[in-house]
Amino acid sequence: MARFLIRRLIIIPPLLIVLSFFLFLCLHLAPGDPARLLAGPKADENQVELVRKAYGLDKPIYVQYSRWLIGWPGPDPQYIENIPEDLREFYTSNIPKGILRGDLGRSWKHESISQSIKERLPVTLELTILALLIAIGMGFFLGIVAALKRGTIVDYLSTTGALFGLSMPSYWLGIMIILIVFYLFGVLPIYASNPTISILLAATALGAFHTASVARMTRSSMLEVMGEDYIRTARVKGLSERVVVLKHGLKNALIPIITILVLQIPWLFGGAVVLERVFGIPGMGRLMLDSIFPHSDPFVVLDLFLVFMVLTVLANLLADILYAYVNPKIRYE
Amino acid sequence: MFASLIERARRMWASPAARKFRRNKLAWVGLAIVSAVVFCAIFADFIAPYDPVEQVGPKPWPNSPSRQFLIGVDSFGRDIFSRIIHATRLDLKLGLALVGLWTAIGVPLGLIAGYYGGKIDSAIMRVVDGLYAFPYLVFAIAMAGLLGFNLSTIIIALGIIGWPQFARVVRGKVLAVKTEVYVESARAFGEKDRTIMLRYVFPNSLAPLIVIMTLSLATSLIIIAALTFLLPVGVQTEAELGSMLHEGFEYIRYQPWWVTSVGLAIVIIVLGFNFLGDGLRDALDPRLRY
Amino acid sequence: MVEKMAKPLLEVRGLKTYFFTDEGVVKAVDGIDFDISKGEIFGLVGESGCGKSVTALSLLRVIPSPPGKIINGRVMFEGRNLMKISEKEMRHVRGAKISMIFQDPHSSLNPVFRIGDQIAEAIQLHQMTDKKEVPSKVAEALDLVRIPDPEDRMYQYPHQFSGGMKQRAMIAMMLACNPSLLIADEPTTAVDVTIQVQILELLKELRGKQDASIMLITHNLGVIAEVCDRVAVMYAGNIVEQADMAGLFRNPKHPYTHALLGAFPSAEKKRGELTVIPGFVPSLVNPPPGCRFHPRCPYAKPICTEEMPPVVKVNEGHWVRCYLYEGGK
Repeated sequence: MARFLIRRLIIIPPLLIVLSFFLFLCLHLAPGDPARLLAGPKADENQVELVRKAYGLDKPIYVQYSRWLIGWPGPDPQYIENIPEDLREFYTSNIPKGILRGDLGRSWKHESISQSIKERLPVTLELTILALLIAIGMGFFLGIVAALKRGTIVDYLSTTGALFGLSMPSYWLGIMIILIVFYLFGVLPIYASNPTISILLAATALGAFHTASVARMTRSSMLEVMGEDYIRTARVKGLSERVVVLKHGLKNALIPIITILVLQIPWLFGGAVVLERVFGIPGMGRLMLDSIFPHSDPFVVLDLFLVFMVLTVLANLLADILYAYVNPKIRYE
Repeated sequence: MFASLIERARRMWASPAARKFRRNKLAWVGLAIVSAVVFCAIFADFIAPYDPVEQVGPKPWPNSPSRQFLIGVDSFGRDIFSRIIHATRLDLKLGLALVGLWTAIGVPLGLIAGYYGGKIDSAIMRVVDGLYAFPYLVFAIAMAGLLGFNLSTIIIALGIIGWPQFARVVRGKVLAVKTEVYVESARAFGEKDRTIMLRYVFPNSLAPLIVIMTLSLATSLIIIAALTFLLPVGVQTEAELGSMLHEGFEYIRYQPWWVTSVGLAIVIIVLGFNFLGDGLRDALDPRLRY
Repeated sequence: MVEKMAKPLLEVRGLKTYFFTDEGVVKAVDGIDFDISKGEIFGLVGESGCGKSVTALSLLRVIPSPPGKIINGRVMFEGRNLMKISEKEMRHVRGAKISMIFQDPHSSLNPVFRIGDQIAEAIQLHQMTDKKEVPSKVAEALDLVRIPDPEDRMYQYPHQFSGGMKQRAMIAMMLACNPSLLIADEPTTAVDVTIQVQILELLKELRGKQDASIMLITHNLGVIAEVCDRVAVMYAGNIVEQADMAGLFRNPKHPYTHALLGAFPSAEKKRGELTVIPGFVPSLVNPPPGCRFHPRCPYAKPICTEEMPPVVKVNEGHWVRCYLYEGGK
């Protein structure tokens, strides 16, 4: 088991480097000029050039990338004088030390990005994990019930319900929830009014969408598993039906269910960003959106994206560990 | 050539798969919805009572729904109902473009991976596995943020990320068919790889491909609407469901029907494609269920 | 009826199990009677699909209930009618007093739990054992079935065991609580010949050691000949003949038994062809009226098509259902 873990962990650092470099490449190859975005729409050609040189954006890409990784030597002294007053402070103090030393750089407003992320990460995680738990809890319940009562009206209802659920995007659910609460209580349940409730409601909206997928997979996987011989053996041993289903059945059914759960993760993160907007929750998604409009702050965007990537990779790793736990055959490969 | 196509279509209609589809009531509902949507998209100019972009008249605008303006008028003075009808056109176009990109990238890659196997296959599948876990919504937002937000950036960003499912499905079929006799004999006859892939292998994967395309259309609509809801993509003039949500969200307290109806429109369209895709899947290839 | 000196361990009377399917009612077991005595190896033999497995599953009341249902029957075991006791009480019987092992060991063991855990589960369920003692009891059980290095092996998973070992592990699991009756459903069919011998030897040993009775279900007469004390022959949901080994093999009465023995290759038959029983096994949805074997029976008489023949005692411990014999020939 240890060997399995180590093999999985070793992949992560190179994977992250490749991914971040990929993003860097995208920045360069795609249309758009970061220097212009940084200089702002009011800057003229000269200023844009200055900004470009000051940020080192004219240097070859591998230089830029390595600077981002290991630190920036500081703005080119040649150009410091040409930088407008208000920005000089920004460029000369608090020189970023590079990602590898944990420094994620500075935002346009001179704030430490690492700090902002540290504040907002827990909020987003809370929302996402809560939503995942809701999806798993409800999904398992509905799926198992539908499987056990196969062919009855309960089954039909939950299967059709799942199809409906899959068609209701989480942002729509969120908006509807807000409306309903507004009509019932006269208050908009946004973060500013009530942090806990808004996160709960947002998690519900997000989780509901994913409940559908989880429920469907649970149902079909359970159906398949319950027909297996070892279930008959368990019954013949004298175990109660509940133990047979929940212990012997569910553990085997988990393998394809975990696959589906892993597939939900990208959606969960995306959904979290949207729901943060809907409910006004100050998480990473909110930060990202604020860093795009009205003023663009590419470093923040880049760093946030990287954090999301790391989270995704970690989540996948967790899922792999779960896999190995549930399916002993994998451990010995 | 045409005659054989008709013959093929006739055989398909009578096949057990088609019969199964016909029995599925939800699939019919889906088909009805999708047809209605397509109809709206094509004939929007004739159906919609008002112009989607022009103001309906001088201020003050009647905000609440009325006989004249079924869902009321938005804050820019445009009839919401007409806008929704017109929005189907743009959204369908965007969705089709996205699915088209996914197909264009995923299918060839799947064919190549499955057909040639070996190192090429592992390389491609590695990429597929990696992309499966990619947080694509965040990626699209990041791309939009870094490169400027307009529809084409978003579609392209999503397009290069979302194709793994297509490649997987096609590759699966290729692997299944690769060992069939007619493929072997074609190779023995010295036919070129490309021809074999296109003439013999590819048609077999059409069935699951159609299912995936339909279902992906549903998800692509959700994603596109999500992105246009979040980002000011500059389509405020042209009618598009996600950006209408964006606009309406500000007025949620005063004109809740605005946001509700646009959202419902999205839900119904997605529902239609989901029902249809599900029905197709049950009929053509139940094993595709995950 | 079979008379024995001591009261039989298991008395089955009039067992009927039907399956209600879309195609009709499948009368899988249509009224059978038999007894099993203490310490006896009882064989139930017949072609595939004749209802042997359904009989066993009915005894334990684990018939899948949407399509299947035990319509009728009395199963006396330890002074109680198993068909009448509550589900909760039945669970105390399953695995503890009456156990069952299945044909395919590869699919009958849960792949995600360790072998030791699966055995321990049975022990902990039925015997109030101190937690600390459980591992040694598990090792004991594995040792009983001759699995080497039981203390290490019990931490392994089923996929790490060979086919024969899996079968033996299943036997260990089902014997761990000292049941009085072990039902073995085709235990040798899915394993190869060398393992078959081992399993049969094991079963014989266990009967002695644990004083358990064994109900051996198989379609293979050779297996029956090897280990059984008494045998019942089943055809299309009915028991057509029941006898002890000598009686059945030397003096088969029912035409079907005759045919079965004739179809069976044996070293004693130096010449001649193997007889083939003409016709097909009847559908259990619409079984032939009267004696179900009559369409394929060379001795069929008109009365055979009207009503199921009554039980006729041929000898001590040997009875048959056939119109060829009238009340003690």
